[in-house]
Amino acid sequence: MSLSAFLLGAHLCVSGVPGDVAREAVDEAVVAQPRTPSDGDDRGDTVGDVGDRGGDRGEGAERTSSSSSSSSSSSSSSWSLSAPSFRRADDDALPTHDARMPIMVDVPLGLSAQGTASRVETLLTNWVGIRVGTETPDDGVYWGGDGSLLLGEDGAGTPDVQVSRLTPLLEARGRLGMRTRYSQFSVGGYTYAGVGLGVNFLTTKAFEDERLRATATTTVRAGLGATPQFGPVRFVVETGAGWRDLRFELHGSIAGSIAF
Amino acid sequence: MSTSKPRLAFSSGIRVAAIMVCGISWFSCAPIAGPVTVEAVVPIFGAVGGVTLGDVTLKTVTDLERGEGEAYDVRGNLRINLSDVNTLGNSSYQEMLDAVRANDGDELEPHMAFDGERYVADDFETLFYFTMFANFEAAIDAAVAVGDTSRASSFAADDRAVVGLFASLVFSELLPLPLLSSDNAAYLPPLDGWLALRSATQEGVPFAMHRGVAAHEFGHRLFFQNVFGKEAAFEVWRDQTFAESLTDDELRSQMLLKGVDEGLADIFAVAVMRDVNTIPEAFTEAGGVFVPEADRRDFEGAFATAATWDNLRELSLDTALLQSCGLTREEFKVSFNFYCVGTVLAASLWETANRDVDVLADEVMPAIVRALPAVGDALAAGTPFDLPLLLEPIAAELPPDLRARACQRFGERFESLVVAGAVPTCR
Repeated sequence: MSLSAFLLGAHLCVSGVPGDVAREAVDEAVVAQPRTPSDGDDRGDTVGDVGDRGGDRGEGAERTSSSSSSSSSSSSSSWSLSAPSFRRADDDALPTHDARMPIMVDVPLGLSAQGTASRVETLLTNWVGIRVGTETPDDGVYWGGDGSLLLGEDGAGTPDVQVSRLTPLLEARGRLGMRTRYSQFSVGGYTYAGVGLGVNFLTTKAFEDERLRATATTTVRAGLGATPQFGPVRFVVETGAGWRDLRFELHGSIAGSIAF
Repeated sequence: MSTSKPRLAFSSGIRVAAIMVCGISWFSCAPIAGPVTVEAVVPIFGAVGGVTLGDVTLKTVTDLERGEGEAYDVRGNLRINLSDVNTLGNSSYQEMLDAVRANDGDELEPHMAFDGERYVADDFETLFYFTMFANFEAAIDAAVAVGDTSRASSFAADDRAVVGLFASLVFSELLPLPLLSSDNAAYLPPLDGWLALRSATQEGVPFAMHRGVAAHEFGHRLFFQNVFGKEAAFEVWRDQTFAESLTDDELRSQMLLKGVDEGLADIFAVAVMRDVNTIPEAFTEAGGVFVPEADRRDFEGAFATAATWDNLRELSLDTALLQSCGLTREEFKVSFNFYCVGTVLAASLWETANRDVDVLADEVMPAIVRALPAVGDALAAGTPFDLPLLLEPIAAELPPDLRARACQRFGERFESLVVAGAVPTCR
């Protein structure tokens, strides 16, 4: 067996993780596709290409090529070890659900806390919304992104004299995390960062005099999240900090979620 | 807003960029100083709740974004530790201020936007701050108008007062049990400032946001600075306030002094607002447990109409009316609701003004302000406080026509004192 074939084969065998391996195998298969025995004279050049791309693996491939030049049966035997592996991975990977990026729909309920003019009180904003995102299906390290439409609500004062705020907010975020999967159950943790843009609808009230005005609002947030998932159903917990309208705030949320 | 200073004119969206520019070149952004127009809760006679939203021009603000003004600074996160205050027994006035203000909170962080004509609060506390600032300015204007020349109306840098926005009075730094933290406002002489407390259970206009209540609290500063402004009088106040124990007579003097302080503060509030119902309405709108206080502080209500110094002392006032005053024959000398005595005094002065807010503001209140230093002088001379110590100089300072009416009213409300000749002007 050639070294490259051994390494690839070993990787396929040891890893044994369909999504991860299947995708890498597909990638390798695309690169190595020309190396099928039927390519004949092009085989050596192609293998050389692989060698250029692949360091030790390439050198191994070159050695395989050398050995193939001395014995075509040996060469054929060598390729018969590796090529079927590629095909198997290719065939196995595509149909499984892990191979594609799932779409997740979350319904987050959040709370953010921002300092106020007195530096004594904290203005608590309640958030509810819908978040749609996707992420790579890999176990181990994965990444993804999502977009949210959130609605925030807060206010302070007495029933008669008060300022209240309703805030529709569009937020886009990127996520980077790690996940471990146990059959249908998986658990992951991630960091996220994102920016948001929205409108504050501020209502100032003094008994019968109510005034409404709209102002732009921006958010920059980052934090940590955790997602236990069973099948398509996820639970998301997040906590983080950031700036809303250039003012520091803490925030947290929980969300129920379904992955398609 | 001053036209000579750069003006941060921005809508909320542009505000972000403006702040960033200020951050990059901080020194190019001048403070937002008065006169500057803000949207605040303003009193309006006859409206539901007595208030509406309106434009107010803040004249004395020197930095709107930091809560600083010529006459007072508004501070956030201000907490007064009672245990610290109680260690000031031997301090001079300035030492007392320095000690209490050593930790006087932080700069404000108002959330606001400029809409092209005015600054508008983006949250409730900023609306609170704008409103409170405007209310104290109105109170200072009124104090100056009635002839006050004490520190209370001073714009000298050394005389600046402090307003704690959502401040607290706590037991100690180590044990910060809140003793006073909500639904109230207070003037604290050791701070020479006001605690503007948050609203918790009350309805209506938060007390510290109510112009009449702000005027009442300003009235306490007017009283303190006029009565105890001189060093000798201050030492009398300090020795009684921070004493570990007091005799029954000293306690009685202290309670009566608090009573007249409260009554005159209510009178000043009426003079500022030119509305006799301002304080009762504040309590009525607040609802719940505050409603009975409205009845007791109403100059024209059942309590004020019936109560006199003598029927309080003799417990002969109608039982239902007397109940809230906490008076008993045994405890009268040392412990009672001093607001009751205050209302008797205030009602007599209201009647002296012939129930006319303009007469009260333009003639009676100036006479009161002129009379107050005499009280301090008497205390400094070693005379324990009693009601004639105040009634006499007030009567003496009133114009002749009002003096006659005052003596008539004092004769009804404080009959035993006037009959005994304790108010010489009314003999």
